[in-house]
Amino acid sequence: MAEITQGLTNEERILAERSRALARPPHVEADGEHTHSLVAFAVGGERYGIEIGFVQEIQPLPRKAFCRLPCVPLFVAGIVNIRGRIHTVIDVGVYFGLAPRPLAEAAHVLLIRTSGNGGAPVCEVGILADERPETLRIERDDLRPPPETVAEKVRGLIHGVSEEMMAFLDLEKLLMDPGMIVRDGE
Amino acid sequence: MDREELTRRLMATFRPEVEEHLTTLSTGLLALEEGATDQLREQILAETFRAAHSLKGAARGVGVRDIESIAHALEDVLSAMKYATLLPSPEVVDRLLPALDMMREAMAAHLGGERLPADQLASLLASLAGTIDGSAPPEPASAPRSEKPAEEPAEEQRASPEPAPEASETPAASPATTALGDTIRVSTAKLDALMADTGELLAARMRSEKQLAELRELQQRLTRWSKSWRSVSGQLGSLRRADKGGRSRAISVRDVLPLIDFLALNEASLRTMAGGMSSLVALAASNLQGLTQLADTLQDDVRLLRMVPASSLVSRYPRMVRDLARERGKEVALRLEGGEIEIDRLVLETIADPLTHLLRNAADHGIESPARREASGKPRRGLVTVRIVQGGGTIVIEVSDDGAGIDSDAVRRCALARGLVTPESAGQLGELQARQLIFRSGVSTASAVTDLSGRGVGLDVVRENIDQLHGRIDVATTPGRGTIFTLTVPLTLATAHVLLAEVAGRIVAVPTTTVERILRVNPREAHSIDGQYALHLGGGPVALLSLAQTLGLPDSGSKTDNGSKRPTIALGSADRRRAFMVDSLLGTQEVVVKSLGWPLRRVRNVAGCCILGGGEVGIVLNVADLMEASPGELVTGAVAPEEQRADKRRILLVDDSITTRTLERNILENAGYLVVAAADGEEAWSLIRGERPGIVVTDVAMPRLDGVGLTRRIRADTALKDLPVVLVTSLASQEDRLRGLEAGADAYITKGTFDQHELLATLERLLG
Repeated sequence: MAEITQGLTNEERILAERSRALARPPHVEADGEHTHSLVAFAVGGERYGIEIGFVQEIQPLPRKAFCRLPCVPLFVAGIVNIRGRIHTVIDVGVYFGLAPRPLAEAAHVLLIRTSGNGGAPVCEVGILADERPETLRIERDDLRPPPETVAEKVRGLIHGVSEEMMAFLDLEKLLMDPGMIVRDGE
Repeated sequence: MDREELTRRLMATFRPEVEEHLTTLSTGLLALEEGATDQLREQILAETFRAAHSLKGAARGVGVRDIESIAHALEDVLSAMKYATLLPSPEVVDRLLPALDMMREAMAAHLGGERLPADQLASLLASLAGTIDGSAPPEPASAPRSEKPAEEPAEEQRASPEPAPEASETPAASPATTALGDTIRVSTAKLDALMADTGELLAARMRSEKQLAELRELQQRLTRWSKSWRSVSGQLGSLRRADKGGRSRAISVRDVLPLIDFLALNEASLRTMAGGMSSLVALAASNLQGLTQLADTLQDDVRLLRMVPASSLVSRYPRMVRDLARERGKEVALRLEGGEIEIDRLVLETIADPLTHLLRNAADHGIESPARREASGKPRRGLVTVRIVQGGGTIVIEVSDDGAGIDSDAVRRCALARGLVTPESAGQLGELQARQLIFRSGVSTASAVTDLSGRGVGLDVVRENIDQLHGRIDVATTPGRGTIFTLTVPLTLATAHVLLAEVAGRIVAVPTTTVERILRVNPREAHSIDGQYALHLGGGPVALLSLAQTLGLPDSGSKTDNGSKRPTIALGSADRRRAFMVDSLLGTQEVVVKSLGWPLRRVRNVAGCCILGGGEVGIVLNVADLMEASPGELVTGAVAPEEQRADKRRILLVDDSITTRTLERNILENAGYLVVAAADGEEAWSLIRGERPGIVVTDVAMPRLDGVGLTRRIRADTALKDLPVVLVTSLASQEDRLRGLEAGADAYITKGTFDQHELLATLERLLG
């Protein structure tokens, strides 16, 4: 390959390299016990991650089909209609103590479904992201326990924190957290 | 069709048949026990006998031998009754009713590929035979049952009290719910209606075909016209050329004739096409109307399919109440009204458990022992009534008893003891609220906790189930006289007719059944009673509230205090009425009401949501909650940050010189900004607090509060600290500049070098 790229200009070389990279079949490492594939997203300047298996779909938050609800706790950003189904949109950052902020221009919603294992209900919920999420892999060994400053309540809901200060959420625990369930007016 | 398929089909018809016959048998036996006049008695007896007989035959046909045997034994007993050698005393009926239960079990067993335990069956048959020859019932009538592998926890309950009132359904109850869920009986009338609808659909299709044909014809006409045109258009060209170059050449009439002919043809064609168009439009309009009507009718008819008569639920109650009463040594009569009313199947399934629970409560908890009743001058026999009434889009179910009533003091004490209320609030609770406490988990007034009720676990579940349906439950009681529980549930869950309105930037919906009136109200003209505004409507004062405020949202309308009238909806629920001011009304619509999903189990004031035409989401309000909501209650944390988002195009301009203000305002407004002006820092500060601007452009030297002071105040406020501030001043010295920037200004522009470009560029930079 090197011989071929010799005679090319810089740009051409870059493009050639890029096309080679794309042509390579994606190197799919099976998620072993020690590797997690996550969807990482940012909320209010903080980063969180969710096991990719829970994520059904990611899309820009359709403003027209989104509606803020009155009489709900702050961490409920609102409800959204996606293809005829209504999903509650949760702001995880607010749940963990951030001040509520206006919807970001590039707000996205992650549609989550839990399987009903471990006591969590089979439910579909939307999670708010301030911008387009990305996927990444982390090794279990790279996870550290959350810093001391993190509140007790939050600790129990996180698997751990990565080097880049991304908090890997225990989604099922989070959705079943008593504070998450809204039963008002009784 | 192979054997297996045949068997399956036979089973599919047999199962509902079993249920029906068992219902007839149950009703019949209980009626016989009650004792009826001779003529009626004969009739009932005949019906009951027939049911047993048919059941026997059918069971034999499909090969369920256990049912066959039991039915046969029952037949013998009923026969004996027919010939009056046996009277249907309670003791006898006691032995007959278990036969019904066991036939149900046999059915369930058969479906699982099994049969009843042989000794159990033998025991029952012996018991049945024993009723005829008067022998005593086999010793442990309940023991065999407990030997049996109990999938039915309720069964064991008869032998020994078990906890968990949820599982306290009699065996009669549980399989019945499966029958309710499995198949559904639909009257042929409903199916005929649907057939008629499909006929209509066919007609609509034919109309559409006709429309298409006419359109095609029109198209052909146009094509022909086009051809005619092409044949003469050349002519037009040559005529034009004759006039070129400023010289007109003479032309002959013959040259023009084709064109003249064409014009005539044109006129005729257009006239015909116009006519054709009119008829097409009329056809399309009538087609559309037909389809609209058909769509509505079809929707209604299909919705009706889901409706089942309430009797399918309540028919099991006489047995349940009877058994319960006998067990507790009480005498209870049950009256059922409105069983023929049809309810959406899903609604029925959801209220099945709550209703059953209420009934058990009434029979067990509400009705006193015969001795106590006599002592208080009541008839020995207590009366429990279940009445079902349909009103508008709702079903109202009343479960009432003439028993001891609920002692709200006892409820209060219990709640206190369980730590559900604090001593102070317990004292403050009104009658109504004290009674509502019974719906809280753990509250009960029974001094002795029985296994079935009184444990205080059930009513909160009841309430939850009713909430799920967006219904409501109320309780009224008179100590010593009785209690009435009233459940209100929607007739159908599928769709609702709602009134849409706009409130604080959101679309809300209320069921039109709750809307009493729509009006326009100037709040200033409303009367004030105790500081609360009220309208006089239809014979009484109605509280006037702002819907936005009630929902804890900012009310934009209150700011326009110019005395204009606001659209107002007068709502009513049960016997409460309130009028709510909104921002605008958006008309009525039929919508599909959807529940809010996880984790929103129950949200105050919000019943659910709906999807509107363009995909937007509307909030369906819970009118019952609204009636009780506090008028100006700011639900903590419900103010969403959106409300505080600054309008980026909005500039607050602060300068004490009117000339400067005018000059700068012109520049800014021409650049497309919205300008609000203030003459000094204090005025600016109050304006900022009222409505947050996108940026503040301020002079420095001003009376009362100067620009630097204003900047400092802004930076010190947590909500405002990110508000961009530009100081525009004639104070050009370095110290002044430093002072300004230290105070937190984002930019410092000196008027000496003032030109609009610098200001505008700075604004653009800061506003992003």
